[in-house]
Amino acid sequence: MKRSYIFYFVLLTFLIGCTEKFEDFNTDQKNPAEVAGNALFSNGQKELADQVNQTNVNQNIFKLWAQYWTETTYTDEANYDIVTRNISDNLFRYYYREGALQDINEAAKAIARETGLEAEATKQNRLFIISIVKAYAYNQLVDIFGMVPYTEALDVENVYPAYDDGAFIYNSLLDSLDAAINGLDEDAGSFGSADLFYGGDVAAWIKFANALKIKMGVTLGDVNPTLAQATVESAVEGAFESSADDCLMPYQSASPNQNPLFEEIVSTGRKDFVLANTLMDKLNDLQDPRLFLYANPSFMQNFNFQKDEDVLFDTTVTEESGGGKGRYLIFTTRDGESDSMVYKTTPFTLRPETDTLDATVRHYAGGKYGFSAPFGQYAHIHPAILDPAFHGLMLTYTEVLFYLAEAAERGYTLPNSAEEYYNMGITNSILEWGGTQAEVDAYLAQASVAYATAEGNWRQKIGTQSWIAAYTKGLEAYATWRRLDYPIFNVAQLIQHTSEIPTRFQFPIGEQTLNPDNYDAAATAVGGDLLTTPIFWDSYPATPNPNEVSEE
Amino acid sequence: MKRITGMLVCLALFSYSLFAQDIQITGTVTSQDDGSVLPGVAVQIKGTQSGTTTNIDGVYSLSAPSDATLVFSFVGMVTTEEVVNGRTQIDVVMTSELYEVAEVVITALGIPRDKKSLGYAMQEVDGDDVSTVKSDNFLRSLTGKVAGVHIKNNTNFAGSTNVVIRGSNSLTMTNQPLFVVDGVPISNSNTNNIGQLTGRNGYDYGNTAADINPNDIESVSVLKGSAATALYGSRAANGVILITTKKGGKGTTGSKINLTLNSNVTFSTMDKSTFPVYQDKYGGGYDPTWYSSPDYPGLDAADINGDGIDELITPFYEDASRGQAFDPTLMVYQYNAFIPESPHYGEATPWVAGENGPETFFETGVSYTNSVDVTGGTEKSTYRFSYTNQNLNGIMPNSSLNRNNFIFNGSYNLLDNVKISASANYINTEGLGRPSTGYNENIMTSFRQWYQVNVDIQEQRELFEATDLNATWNPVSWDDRTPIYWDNPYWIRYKNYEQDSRNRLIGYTQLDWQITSYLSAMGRVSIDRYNELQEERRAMGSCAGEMGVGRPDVTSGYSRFQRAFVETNADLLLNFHKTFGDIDLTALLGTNIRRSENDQVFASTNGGLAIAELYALSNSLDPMLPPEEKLEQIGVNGVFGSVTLGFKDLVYLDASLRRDQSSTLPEKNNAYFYPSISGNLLFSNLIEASWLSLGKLRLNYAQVGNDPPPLSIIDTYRQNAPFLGNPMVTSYYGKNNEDLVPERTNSMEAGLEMMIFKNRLGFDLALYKQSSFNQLLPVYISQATGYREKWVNAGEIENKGIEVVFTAVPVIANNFRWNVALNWATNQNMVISLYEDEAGNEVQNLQLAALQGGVTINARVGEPYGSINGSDFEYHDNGGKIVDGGYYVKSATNSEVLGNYNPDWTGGISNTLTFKDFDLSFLIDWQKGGEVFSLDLWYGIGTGLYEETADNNDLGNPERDPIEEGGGIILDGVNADGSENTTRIPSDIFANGWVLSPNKQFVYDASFVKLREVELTYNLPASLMSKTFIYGASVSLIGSNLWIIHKNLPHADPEATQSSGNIQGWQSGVMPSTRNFGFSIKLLF
Repeated sequence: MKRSYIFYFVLLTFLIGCTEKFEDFNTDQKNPAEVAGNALFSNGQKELADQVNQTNVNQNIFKLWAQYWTETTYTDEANYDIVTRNISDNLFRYYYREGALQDINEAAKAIARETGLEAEATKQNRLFIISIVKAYAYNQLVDIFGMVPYTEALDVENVYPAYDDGAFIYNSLLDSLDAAINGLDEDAGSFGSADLFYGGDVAAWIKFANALKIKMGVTLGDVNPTLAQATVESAVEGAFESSADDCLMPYQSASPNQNPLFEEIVSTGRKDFVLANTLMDKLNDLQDPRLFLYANPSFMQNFNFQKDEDVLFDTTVTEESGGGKGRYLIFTTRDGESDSMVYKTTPFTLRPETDTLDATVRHYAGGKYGFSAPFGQYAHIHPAILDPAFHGLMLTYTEVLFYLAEAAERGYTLPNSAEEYYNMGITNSILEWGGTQAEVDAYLAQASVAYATAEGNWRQKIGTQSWIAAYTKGLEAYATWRRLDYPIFNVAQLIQHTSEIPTRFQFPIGEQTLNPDNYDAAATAVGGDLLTTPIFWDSYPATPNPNEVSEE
Repeated sequence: MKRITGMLVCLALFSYSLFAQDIQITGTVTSQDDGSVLPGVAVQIKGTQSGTTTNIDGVYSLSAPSDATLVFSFVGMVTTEEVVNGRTQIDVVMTSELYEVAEVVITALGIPRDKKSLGYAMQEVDGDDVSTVKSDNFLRSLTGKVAGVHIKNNTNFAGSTNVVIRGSNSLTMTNQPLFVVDGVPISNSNTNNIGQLTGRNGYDYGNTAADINPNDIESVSVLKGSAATALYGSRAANGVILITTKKGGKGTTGSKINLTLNSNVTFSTMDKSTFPVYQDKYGGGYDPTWYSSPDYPGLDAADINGDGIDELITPFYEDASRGQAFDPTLMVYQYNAFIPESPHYGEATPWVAGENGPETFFETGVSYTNSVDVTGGTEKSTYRFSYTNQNLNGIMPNSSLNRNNFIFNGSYNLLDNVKISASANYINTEGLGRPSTGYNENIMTSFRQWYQVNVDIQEQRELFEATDLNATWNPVSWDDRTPIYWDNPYWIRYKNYEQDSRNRLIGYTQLDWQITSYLSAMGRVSIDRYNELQEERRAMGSCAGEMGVGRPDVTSGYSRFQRAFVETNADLLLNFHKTFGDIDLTALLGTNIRRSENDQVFASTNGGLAIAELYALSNSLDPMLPPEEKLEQIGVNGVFGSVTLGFKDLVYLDASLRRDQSSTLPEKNNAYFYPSISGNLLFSNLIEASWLSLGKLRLNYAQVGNDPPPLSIIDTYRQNAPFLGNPMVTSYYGKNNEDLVPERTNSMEAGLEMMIFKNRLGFDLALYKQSSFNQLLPVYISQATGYREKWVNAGEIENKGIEVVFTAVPVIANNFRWNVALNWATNQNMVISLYEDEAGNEVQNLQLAALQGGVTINARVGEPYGSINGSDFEYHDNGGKIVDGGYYVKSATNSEVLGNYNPDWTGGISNTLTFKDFDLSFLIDWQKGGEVFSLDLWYGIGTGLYEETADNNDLGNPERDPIEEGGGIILDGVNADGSENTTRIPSDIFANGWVLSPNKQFVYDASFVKLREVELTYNLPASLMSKTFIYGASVSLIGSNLWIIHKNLPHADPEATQSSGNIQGWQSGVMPSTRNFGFSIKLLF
């Protein structure tokens, strides 16, 4: 019996010895606790680029809201339903947590801590570049929600971050951009290849910061003209000078570094999107050469003329059957050399020139925005855009040119006139999408396009052309529409009037439960947490569609 | 009703001399009930096949050795043994089984105790009750048999079974009980990944407790409250299912070896009441006016044969059935017209409903269970060997599960007071073609939500067989046969099947030492170790779907999940038991050292397969993504003690204390204590009342602690695939916490147990209340913090409830006996609080899962755990559902409470009727309340698949007719002013379903009443057997899930779900349930 107590004592001693390893048990052996700031920065850039470029219905529906595309069968998002998929929550998740801000913020902390070979100037450059990327992300957040947590964000010790006024955030971001522009040292290095956008080119980041200032400055044009003018004028000399300065995400052919559009549309094999009639009707109306660069025909019909006969071609897709107008078609003769593309309006007659002429009719019509649009009947996204290595568009020279056209109209002192910037913007856009100078010249010569004769006031002219040029950049186009109140958007099935088209996103539902006091304060401050509340820089209502009431 | 030959009892075994002379013995057998004589009682000489039966006067006579033991057995009576000891007259009084109140039960740590001395509720189930019905998971057989144990009979073939005892306690961690087999804790993990659990896609790989072979089970004890489980420490906070396996013993058939053969075949068929009833009036498409044919706008038109005239084509790219009305005279080019192997290639066929609907897709599942048991022993040793093979085939084509279970256990008395015992159980499980679950890429989601009723499913089979291609009914267009949303279902079953395997070893060695008459010691080392592999494949040519690392959408691929798990436990226990006058003292001191390791890796091809039909990681089209690796190690050292004091068989007092030190807590806070105290009063020993044979009051209080999952203390980052050679690192979504402390559960229980009217009636009533607070949880926080969640100690859940076990013997007559047992339990669960910071800000909701359809499952303050949230109707003050323009108005947000998944109460009633050699038993169990959101109907009503979507309207016209032709429907609701809605709207996708309906419209009451089990057994009479070498034989007819007597959820089984775990109350693409009929034969040699 005594022996058992001894045994017990031995065992207890063993027990105490056992706990020494407990710390090892609870140390993650598969994931690092310390990492390099550069690796966090690279990841933040990629996540941000993914968010900006994707068209996932759960987190980026701006290509729909800009009415570039519409949904084929499940039209919830085109009809402004952001609740079912908790899209606002997903946007917070993407911008703050998974996307840029958290990783880039952590990168800044890590870089500030890092010691070693990097020169101080390099370190400072990296921190300034980080502040520029943060400004880019916050600018988008404000443009989506009107107000967001900013000064108290990204601090896990404060789980109830307050929302900041949008105008305040704009001012603060502009200050940080100025600080970066002044502080960046072109003679020193930065991230090197870890900078996926510019390969660590400090001069490029200075241009980017200026371009972003132009964008933000112009956005303030209606609400704070003084600041807008000062901002744009101070940035115009230092901003992008050509498309070579564009900020692009160099997506790769192989997964997982492919353009998210490829992953979502090609890899999934889904047929969820066709081009919207809003865009296709405009491109058709203007006989825009980008029609063939933005879209693929919905169908092609081959005609093999065996005898000399005229064929009346009347497309089966008409306005009456619910879709886009499809007035313009192309036919290509396939007799060797004389391929040609000719615009035709249905109904039209194919007139074979020889007995054996082959012809192909291609049909470019957009699906009626916000209505069911069978995939087979409407124009598809151009395959070039769906290439896995299609670069992600972050901020481009074309975009800046249209901002400057607008700035010139607003009377700011700039090197060129509004018309010149307008023409430069259109030219640059057509060329960057692969069009020719001849097409540019012909296009600009059209009365419907030429600045002097195009329809409407400067807001409509610039609004329309900048919208066409910003194709696939949904959020930019949606912001332009809100600011300039053009182009005229179509009214989706489940709303009745243009005035019901959302002008912002509602705050995330999660914020109502997880951050309720600040949510309530922000909902009041923003003017009511509604989809149709205009945000602080959106001074005027959008131009109503003449067919105000949607057909259903 | 088990008599346990546990270790202590074993020590009391004694031997007797081998040679003796035969003498003639006679006697009378009477019943204690009423003193009547018992005819037909079997009297057997123990250890032989010889024996006799009592005659009509209850008298027997036989010749037996003078030192033999006679065994008296009779239906419904306790088997009685009498040692002859030279006597020639032996009269026996037999007691009814219910009389036996001095029942020994197995309690925590395998300690056998007199049931009447316990101060807490526990319930035992006999091994036969869980092994008769052969299913893929023995837990299913516990359904309805234990009060307060809620078992959800998932319809997934070989899927996981959700078991919750006395409600959910933990906000984010497991709420499943601990499984202990012969003192060895058994892993019951569920490895279904997060995409599967949240209803995206995947397979239900089951829970690993399903490895336990029901044939090996002697008895199951269910320990419900904390007082019963406190000695197990934190992991038993959700209750314990304690399993005692069968052991060998000295032969009962005369030979040293007993051999038992058991063979069963079970047929499973689909229960049509749990499958859609389709409409047969309208074909594929979303609307009869949307397509390109000018004459029949429910169809497309194109000139497909170049004759210059447009032909009619099915809009087969649509996965809905709201298109063109069927018309046999309408000739349409359907999908088969574009498949060269089809007999209808290039031809139009009549526009009619498919002759063979999806119900013909299901097969009859045939399952075989065969087992052989060998047991034996001597006075000094025991052994048992058993082998069981289960081969199950599901009702889905190409689905099977094959399980081999080998067990050997034995004991040997080294010395008179020292016994060594050991057990090894090897289990090999091979699964193939488990049905997929969830919303995406699930055949059942297509059958229930997205389908065209013009499709003939048997034609899909023929075309798949003819082409070996994905000849789907749902191609992109007539000139592009790529699948758009849905594959050919046979392609999925025969090309995209999963395969899984698990090899497991469970074993222990144990030494028992009876040091003195009052002191004993036990030492045990046990191990539970398994390796599992889950391989998933998607063949080239399939629809894209989420798959593999990071869950991207791919059209082909291969993934493998491998896991190695090991847990070892070393236990040392010292037991003291002595009686001092009227006081009976039992004391216990013990220690437990637990170590576990879970090492897993998930890897997959990336971007698709390079070569078709080759399922290897090296066959990745794009370079592989970094595999997901996880290594979790846990160490817990525990010390515990308990004291039980009994006074005059009148009062018992129990106290226990355990201290655990856990590696998953921060070092500074890693030790914690949990005490328990319980007592009972056997008041029947105070009262002199003949009608009362047992009366017991009991009361207990316990506190248990719990530790967090491993790796919740220190923050780490996650690595992504590099980009152009640059490493990519991201922050983790969870913020860990270095200040965590153990979570706590307090529980109280009171009970009343009575046996009255000579034990013809008995009941056991338990009332309990338990509250888990200071919970360890990753609380969701504003994502503007850069994190999704943060580990904190916060939150409280309270459960309180009532359990009743009621037993009765309504009839005991000559050769007939009827037993009834009823279990009933209600549990009220409430989330008291979640998280409050210093400033007083309170989190009101913790989302457990966001599911397809905008529905979330939540822990919400002031609501029961498992709150189903989504969009609701807007209600007028008069209670009516408000409509606007004839359509329902939805609530502004999706955070409305629509219900919760907890039942109001559950119950089961089992009846056993014994007549001569026949046993008939049946079990009915039921659930009242609880809600479920049906994504199946939310979409399927919208897409017009179901019969009720093509009804006639209030005017007697087909509701899908245009309003101007008398069609359309009026939704049940009121206008904004409260007046009745009279606005007629078209019956199209907008009227009912996902487009415009609030989620609430598709939330159903999950109540049901089911005839769960029926069994008829015929025991071949001993007289028949005595001339053969067979000692005993029985044949049984067994049925399970034969009839859903009542339910409120149409077209599906309310119990169906995607997996076990905390995410319940939502159905998408659930399997129908099966009706099972079986035949068993049992032979004892």
